[in-house]
Amino acid sequence: MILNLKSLPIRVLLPKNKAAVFDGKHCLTPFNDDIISALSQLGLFLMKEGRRKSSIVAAGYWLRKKQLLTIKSTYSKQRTLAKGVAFHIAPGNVDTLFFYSMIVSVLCGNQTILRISNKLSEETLFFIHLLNTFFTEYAEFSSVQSLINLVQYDHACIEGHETTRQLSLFADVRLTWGGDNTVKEINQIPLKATACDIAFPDRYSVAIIQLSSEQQLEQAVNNLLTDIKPFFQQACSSPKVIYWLKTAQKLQDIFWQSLAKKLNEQVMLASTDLISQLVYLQRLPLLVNEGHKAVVSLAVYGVLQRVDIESITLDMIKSHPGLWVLLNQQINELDDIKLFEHCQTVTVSGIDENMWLRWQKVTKQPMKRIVPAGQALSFSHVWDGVDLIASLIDSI
Amino acid sequence: MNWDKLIELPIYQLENADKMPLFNENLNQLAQYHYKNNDDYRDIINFLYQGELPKSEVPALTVQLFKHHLLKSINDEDVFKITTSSGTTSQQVSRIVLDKVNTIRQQKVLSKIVQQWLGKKRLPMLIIDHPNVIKNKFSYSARGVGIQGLSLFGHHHTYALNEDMSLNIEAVEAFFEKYGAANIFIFGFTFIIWQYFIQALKKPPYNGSVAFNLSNVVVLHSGGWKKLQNIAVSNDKFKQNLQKALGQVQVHNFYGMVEQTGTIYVECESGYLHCPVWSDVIIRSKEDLTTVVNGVEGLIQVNSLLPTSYPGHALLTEDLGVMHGEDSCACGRKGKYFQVNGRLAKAEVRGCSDTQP
Repeated sequence: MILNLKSLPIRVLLPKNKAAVFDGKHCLTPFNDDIISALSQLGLFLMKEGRRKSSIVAAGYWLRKKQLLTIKSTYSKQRTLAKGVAFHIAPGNVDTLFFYSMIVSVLCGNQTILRISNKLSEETLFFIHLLNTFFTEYAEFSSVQSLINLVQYDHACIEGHETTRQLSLFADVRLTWGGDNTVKEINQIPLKATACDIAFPDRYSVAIIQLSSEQQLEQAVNNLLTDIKPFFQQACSSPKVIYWLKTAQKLQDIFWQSLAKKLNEQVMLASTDLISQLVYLQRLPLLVNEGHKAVVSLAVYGVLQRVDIESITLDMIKSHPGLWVLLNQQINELDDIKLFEHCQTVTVSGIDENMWLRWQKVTKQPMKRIVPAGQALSFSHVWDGVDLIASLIDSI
Repeated sequence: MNWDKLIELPIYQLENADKMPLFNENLNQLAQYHYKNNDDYRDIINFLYQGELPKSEVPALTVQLFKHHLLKSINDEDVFKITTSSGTTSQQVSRIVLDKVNTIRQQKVLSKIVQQWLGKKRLPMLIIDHPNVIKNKFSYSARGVGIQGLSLFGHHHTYALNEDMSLNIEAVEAFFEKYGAANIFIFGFTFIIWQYFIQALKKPPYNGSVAFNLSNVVVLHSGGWKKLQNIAVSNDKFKQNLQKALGQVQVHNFYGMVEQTGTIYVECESGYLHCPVWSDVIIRSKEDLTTVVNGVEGLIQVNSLLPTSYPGHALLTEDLGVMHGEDSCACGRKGKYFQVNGRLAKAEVRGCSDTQP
């Protein structure tokens, strides 16, 4: 089977001005030397050229050779082959996630078609520009470049739906990022009988913070800021809830003042978002469980909204719009934490490592990962409990 | 609140000094009433304002709240009907709880306002829509509610469109033939009049050959401008085109919403929307929702004395508008006058939970 991307109503953003032809034969061996050198070189390039944008530098850093070789060594105990053609559907506006999905796929040698949102931020456009520049400058990596196809098309219309159907039928593996609705929609589009489907539904994340002295404050504030500032706190890995573990109210108050000061200096909300935030705040008292009037109170710190709450309901989480609203609950021990089924990331701050590691082992609370605060958005090739590399290769 | 007295107030004659003390006193009473009689409202206010209704100004609920929650300030057995906003299948609709008193009050207020523009007598009425819009009495769309509400001011109701939205030219011609010499009332939704009346007359088989030369006609039209803005049709262009088709007719746009049915803001001869005595309009900053001065575009808040069955007495809309002044409109009417510029851009979902374009 041959698929000529040129024959489909799509725009190819990468490689620029070149339409790829897929025949399912042009895969590379997973982690082969060309791939490792191309990607590690790309990493250095991004760190240098993407200087002003922390997300691009972080993406470059992820591609350091040492890390790529470590990943390779984990999976090279057996002989491995690329799956073939991987069709990725990237999330709307978590700007850099497309890159990781694409890179992991290329690392495994797959021919990669990645559908990216039609609305891209300046930063993402710049990112894609850098990728194009890199492959133009480094012609020696053309075999690796030929694996990558970043495409855009209007997928909501009938024609776009047909394109998604054709790409799905051609794919050996399909990765769908983007929440319950997208996953539900895409799941209805058939794949080849031999293909695998990997989907990432809606998730939410929480933070646990313990402070015992003012010395810990600055670090804790900066780490939370790192985790909530990007993407309007709307990424599923950004904490929506803070569990305060036995922390003096006075320290908490200083924490909020300091967090608000930094956040307000760096972000602002447009009117549509201001309204969305207000709608959520007005809804909150009505999202308590029947018969359980949880005591809630609100403290406004400019753009940042702190909501003190006694028990958090699923509706409060499902309706959460990001936009820097934090639900705040006081706890006396880690076992007081009750998480919902779709919890993804738990970040910890100021808590003794042995303590949370022990808790992670014994707790029955659903969660996909625990990471130190500040790393909520760091990408890992094991995501939502799915080993992406293992899903993108065939072991023989 | 003494509605027997309130309903008798002159609609566009009170100046600020006479209107606002009276209005604010009643609005505060109304807020207290909802605070006392509506648990949900009280919970929202207590949460947002540290346990009490603020004294400085009556807080506004967002109109979106009515899309998520059924907010009632009356007992279940007093619910007379629930009206809904229009909305395509993907959107959630507002649900507004009405008892008999509110339903009647809405009709009375609407009637008082409309009479200011149409006169007290019912007129032969041409509706630019198709007759089935109001068929289902239990689930009115905003279009149905609008047509139903304004039909009270007409007689010999004639529908200008067929069910497939094509122009029923025979009906229109027959209507004008019969009533053209007298006063006529024409009503329709702005986009529908533009698309299925004005444009239809320009296209085959009419190709602009059918034009009327009417004079004693008042056209009231309403509804969003979004679709017309997309095809670059302004209020002026709309008016000119309609007059080209019908003759020297009076055309008045009006602004209103299902969340405050009954209260409408009608455009005067000078092109401004006028605030009737039972309501107040406040423009809020797009940056921080504080009030802005006249002449600056902001979000429209509508306060109304009408709603007692649901807490819709102070609503922050997603519409953008500009206040032009108070008591000083060239048309001579007192009270605030403003314009509506359109709707705020739709909220963007930015999280991982979106792959939409």
